[in-house]
Amino acid sequence: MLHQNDEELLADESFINYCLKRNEADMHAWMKIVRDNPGAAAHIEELRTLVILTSKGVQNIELKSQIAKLGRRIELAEETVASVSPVLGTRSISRKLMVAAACFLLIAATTIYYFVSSSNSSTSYRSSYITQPAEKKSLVLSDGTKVILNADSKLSIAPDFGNGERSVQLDGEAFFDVAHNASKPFVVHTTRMDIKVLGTAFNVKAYETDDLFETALIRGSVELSLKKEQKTIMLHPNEKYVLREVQPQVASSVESTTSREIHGEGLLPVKIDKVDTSIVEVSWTENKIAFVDEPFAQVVKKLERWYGVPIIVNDGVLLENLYTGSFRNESIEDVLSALQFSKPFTYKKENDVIRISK
Amino acid sequence: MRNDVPINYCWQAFVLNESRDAYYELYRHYYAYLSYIGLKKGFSTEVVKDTINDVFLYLWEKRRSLQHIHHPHNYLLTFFHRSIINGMRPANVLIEDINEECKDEYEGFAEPSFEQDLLDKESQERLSALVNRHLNYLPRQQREIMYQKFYLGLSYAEIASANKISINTVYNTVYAAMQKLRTSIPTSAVASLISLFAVLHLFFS
Repeated sequence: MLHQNDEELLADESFINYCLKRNEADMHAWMKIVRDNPGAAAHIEELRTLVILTSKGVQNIELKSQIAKLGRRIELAEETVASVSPVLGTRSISRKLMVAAACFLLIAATTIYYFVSSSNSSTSYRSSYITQPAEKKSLVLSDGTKVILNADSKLSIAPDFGNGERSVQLDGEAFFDVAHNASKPFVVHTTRMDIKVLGTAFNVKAYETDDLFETALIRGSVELSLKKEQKTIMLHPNEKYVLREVQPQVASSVESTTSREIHGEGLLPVKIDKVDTSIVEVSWTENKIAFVDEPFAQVVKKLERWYGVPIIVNDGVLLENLYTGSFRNESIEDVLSALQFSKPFTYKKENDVIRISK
Repeated sequence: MRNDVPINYCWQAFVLNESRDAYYELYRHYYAYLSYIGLKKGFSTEVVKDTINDVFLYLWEKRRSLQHIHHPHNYLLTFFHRSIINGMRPANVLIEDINEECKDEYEGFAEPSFEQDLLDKESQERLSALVNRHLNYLPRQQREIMYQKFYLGLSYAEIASANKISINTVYNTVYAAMQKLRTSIPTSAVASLISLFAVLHLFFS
């Protein structure tokens, strides 16, 4: 019989190779195990199905996110080309003119390319900043804009940053204090909304993998463009906009649908920490982790990123509980112990993983 | 790899008709393979992902001047290879200079294939939606690790070096993710959906 439990099998290199048909030796070994243990065959087949579904799932998600990024870069590149294309607008021009136009375009394109590449001598083309879970970075961009990048996030600077628009792309959470320059709007692109500003301070939370996208404004004013919804929204100080991904409802979903009703969507006031009247959305920039009436599902996600530790919640009911609290420089154990007081649960830490149950 | 006929067809549609759909189809086709090659050669996840997009962005921009390419597969591989080795922007890789007769080092790479009759289509979609929802919840790095393990089929050691983390961390990440998946989708739910027929084939294959 098998000596491994389900989880061990699902993470077993040779078992995964068998499921994916990626290694002759592993495939033969497992086919033999299945033949020798007819009683376990059905169960192994179930686990194999889970691995295959996971394989398809990760491929879909990876491609979706990479294609979105590529699409965004193509769009940016074409905006640059569009600014020189009026030359092509005139129809029925003579061949000579066409050649001349082509030459001009070539020169224009070369010049633009040269300009772009030379202006980036200090910031390379592939300029991006990445933080791991449990890590934060403070940056100053070439225009003087200050950025604090929260954990598990990536900020990419457009190759033509500063020539016209100041474009950056964000997957994750960041606080921006934008250097004022009315002639060069600062734009934060995310997969689901773009945020355009002149000079202001605001927080963007846009993890590609999260359901919730939000922008909170501290001062100044910003304009949001929601991509799918194709509408724009003006934000005023101490307001935030929350965008929720509508997940397809699955009839047999075991995972709870959490907080959809509890957590609002749309234009909302920022949350205020009653203890020190600070703004919760940007508390992370001061090394403080804070929740105000936050569903446990969100709390867990924040803690995972903050401390870089995977957390497993064994009971879906817990995910809907609301928590309030703020912590600075405390260990994850201290935070969990404090939260236990408000609505009880138990937790234990083993092998760099935290398990939470009722 | 899938067979070459539709790929050549996609390539033609892309360079001759400038079809965006064909272009993204090529991307979908090559993304896993190029990732696999790059990571196998020891480049980091970050560099591999960026290089693939750099190469494809360049292809899109130059689509009108690619009509002379007769072996798109070899061309793409060489182009990618040269870009990643030299750490160059594709624009600086001389396009005329690329030898289309290059050797395909990882011809053995096969994308995971699935039995079509494993589950009926409706149950499969329902289960997939559940699994995808769960995977969507993972932070970026964990998601990348899962892709490298469950789609590319890289070893724990290879994934650790690509992400500059320890083998233990990779293993724990995979273990925790699969455990979460396992608790949110008990195998009994899967079991009820697998047809008896699918199980039986194990004994006769």
